[in-house]
Amino acid sequence: MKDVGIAGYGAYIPKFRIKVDEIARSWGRDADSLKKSLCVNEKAVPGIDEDSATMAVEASKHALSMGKVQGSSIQALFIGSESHPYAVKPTATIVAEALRLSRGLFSADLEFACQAGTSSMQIVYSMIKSGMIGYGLAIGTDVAQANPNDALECTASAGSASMLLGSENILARIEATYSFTTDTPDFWRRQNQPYPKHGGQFTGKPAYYRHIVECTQKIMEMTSSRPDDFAHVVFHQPNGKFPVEAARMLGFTERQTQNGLLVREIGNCYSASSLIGLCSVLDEAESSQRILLVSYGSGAGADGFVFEATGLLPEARKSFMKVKDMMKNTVYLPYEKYARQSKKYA
Amino acid sequence: MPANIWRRMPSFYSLAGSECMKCSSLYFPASKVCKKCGSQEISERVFEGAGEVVTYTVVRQGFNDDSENEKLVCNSPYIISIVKLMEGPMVTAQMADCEPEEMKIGARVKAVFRKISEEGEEGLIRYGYKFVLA
Ligand SMILES: [Zn+2]
Repeated sequence: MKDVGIAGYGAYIPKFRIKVDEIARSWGRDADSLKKSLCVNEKAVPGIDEDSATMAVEASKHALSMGKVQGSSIQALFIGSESHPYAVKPTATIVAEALRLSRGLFSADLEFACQAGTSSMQIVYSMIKSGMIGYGLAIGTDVAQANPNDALECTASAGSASMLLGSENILARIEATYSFTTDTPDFWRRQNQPYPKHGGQFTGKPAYYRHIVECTQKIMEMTSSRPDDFAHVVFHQPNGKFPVEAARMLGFTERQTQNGLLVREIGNCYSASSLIGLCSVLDEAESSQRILLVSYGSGAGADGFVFEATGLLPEARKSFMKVKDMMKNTVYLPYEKYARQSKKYA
Repeated sequence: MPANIWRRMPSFYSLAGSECMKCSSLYFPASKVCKKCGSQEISERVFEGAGEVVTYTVVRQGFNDDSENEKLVCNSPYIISIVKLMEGPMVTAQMADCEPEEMKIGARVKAVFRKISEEGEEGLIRYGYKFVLA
């Protein structure tokens, strides 16, 4: 069977930031203890006119341009988000129109908490592998919502990542993918409610850790891999603590996780979180290095991917800005402006 | 309103203008007849979105809504600039992620896809291009 993999990738992180110190100050909370428990210092905040659709368009322009693929060659578009702009009216239609994709397009919006971006990647991967299509885009994009003064407000951020998948000129070949799914009520939002609820401590052991660990162990077994076979490891990043602890539990070192761990500076961009981490790893990976990606979606599930970087990667990314450079040009907002910009008190 | 948004999507969403097949004149928004040579042999031309600020103005008072319930999605004050695209045509558009004191005539900009306006909480969202400092 033919190889399928990433032929181009793009991340988008909005320009604005708010520091955890500033959020803590405005609520009269202790910033140091919040930062210590979350291991997050600041988070990305979208511009007033940005949403999951606009960020997906920007990330995808980058991915298409790196892959040197015209929008008209894209035959599938799947978008994972828990902040689709409309309850009914697909984000995929808006993004496809803005990118001038082919009208013969398989597409849908997906929702699986923070996991829906990698779920999109599994769908597009399968379609290419089976020969249904040539090229497709898989996107994780979110403007995360959090109740004011909830600890979640310190991490819930915004960003987007777009993966151009294909079977020609591949920059990173997909070796295997696997998913682990259970009914675990750690985090939810009912229809028509503006903010999510979460199970506090329950979000750790039975939720995040169990799914990440089970998924990782299984995909390593499928690919006969040991921890030191991977040059880079990326896990979903709800805060700065969970992914580091999961990596430690599974026998990975800090060196393996450092390139993809961005949550301390940008927060948790939900469906885009692990995929933006993957983009940052692809900015650095050398030819034939192997990469492990495991996302996590509350509710709950985890998607695992094993990639192998090809010799085309270093050349293809050369003229594009790295994720870590994109993160440099930032503007810090005071809480009042942040609240206005994210329409917390319209 | 939906029809109005739908008709203008190519130009609003992806800076699609037109090119005269006879004399190569470029137009944005698209023109069905070449204003230079009168030819009607016109094809679509999508502009890259890179350009520079020719002039700009800071709008400090009231939003000029297109209709009663259509509200612009932007900070106040906001900036409108006239941008000369790299390919030649001029475009009038809002700036995004930018404060008045950062603006300069001649500044390099690039087009981005943003929310332009909303018909309240229940209505359609209109998307389109704005410019950011490059
Ligand atoms: Zn002409």
